[in-house]
Amino acid sequence: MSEHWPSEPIPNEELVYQFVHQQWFKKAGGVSPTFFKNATDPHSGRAGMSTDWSRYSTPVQTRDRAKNPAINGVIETPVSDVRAIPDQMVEHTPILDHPDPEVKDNRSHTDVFGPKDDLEIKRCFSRKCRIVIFAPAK
Amino acid sequence: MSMPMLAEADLFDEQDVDFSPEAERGQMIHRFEFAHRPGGIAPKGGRQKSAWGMQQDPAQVRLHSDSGDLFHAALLQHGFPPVARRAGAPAVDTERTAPEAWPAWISTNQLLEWVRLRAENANLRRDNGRLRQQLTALVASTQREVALTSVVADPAPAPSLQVCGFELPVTLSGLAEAIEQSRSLLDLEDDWDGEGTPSYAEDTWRRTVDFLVRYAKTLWEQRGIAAEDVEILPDTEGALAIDWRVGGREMLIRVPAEPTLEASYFGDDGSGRRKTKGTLDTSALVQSFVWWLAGE
Repeated sequence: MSEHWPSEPIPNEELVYQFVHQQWFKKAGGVSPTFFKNATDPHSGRAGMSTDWSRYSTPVQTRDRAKNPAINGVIETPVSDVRAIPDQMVEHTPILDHPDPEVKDNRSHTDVFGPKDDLEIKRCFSRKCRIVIFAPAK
Repeated sequence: MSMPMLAEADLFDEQDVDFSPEAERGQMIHRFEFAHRPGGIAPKGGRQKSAWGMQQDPAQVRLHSDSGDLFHAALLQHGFPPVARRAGAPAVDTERTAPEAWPAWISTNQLLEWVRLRAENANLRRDNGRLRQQLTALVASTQREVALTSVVADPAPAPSLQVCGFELPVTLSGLAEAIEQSRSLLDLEDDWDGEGTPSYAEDTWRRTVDFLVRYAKTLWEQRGIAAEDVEILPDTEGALAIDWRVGGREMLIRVPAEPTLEASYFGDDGSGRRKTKGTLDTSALVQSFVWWLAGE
């Protein structure tokens, strides 16, 4: 469905953003490793972790894609760091005219495919990411 | 009546005190040397060099002295916490045997806790400097007979904290705070993050805290390490997680919502080395897990 927004190769030098609900921020600083997980798209059947490619999104735009932006922050992770985590693949998956009307168009949408259940993988993600917009205190 | 805090300067000269952990036959010795002033418990008309220490073995220590051990005997006579004999050691008739001859195998933590209570310092850990200060204040006191007697007259109960139905030593107040704060996770409703993450059950939270308390208390009792940098975190599918930093090590534990499933864990030194991972019965105590947390 993304005829006008082709999937493009994402260079290692780029970043991906994710909005993060305030509850996922740790009191000691950083984001909980348990935040990093896959979600299955019921239409494509593929399981991946949604992110936004920095070429087509800003941190604020990413935060505003959350259901309640006021209680979300944003993290960024270098694409090269994501790819350095075992079995993780970064793939540009722009969304246009998604069958679910709740899902808005998003040219920056990027999936990180690969297993996320392993605690070591989760820990790797939490160490690689940086907070660019802090969520308000819980 | 509680033991008065004694000023070191009134009791002995700093240069007379030597505290140094040293290796002896592969075991760590914490040795305290001090000089008695006239009128002390072992007066000989002047200063006399004396020493006592703790020999770690590894969960037990032996008090020992090279001075006829009057202080050692005094400890045993005057309400020192339970003395546990080492397995296989012969029984001693304490009614007929002089205290100097008693075996004195005690847990490291019992000693530290006992001293901490008397020194009225709530932050004692296995910190050599502070330990030395507190022990030397106690040991070098010319009034120690009075002080030790007062311990018998007014034995202080081990202080503890109650948090959400769990009992913790006061030294684990940081953990108590983390437990208290984690209660708020139970207020989250289904889809609390807008991404479909479900809420958390009281039973899952209680198993998580019970697991954490069990290991934190064991770590404190066996190794004198206080759990401070620890946080209970939300997870997916109704599970909760424990993020625990101790020393340079980081441990992540996932306690699933399903009570029959084991907890999974992953630990490393913070930079991907010294890795450990596996699963644990949440109702058991796995000693090797304690050792890893202790950095052994």
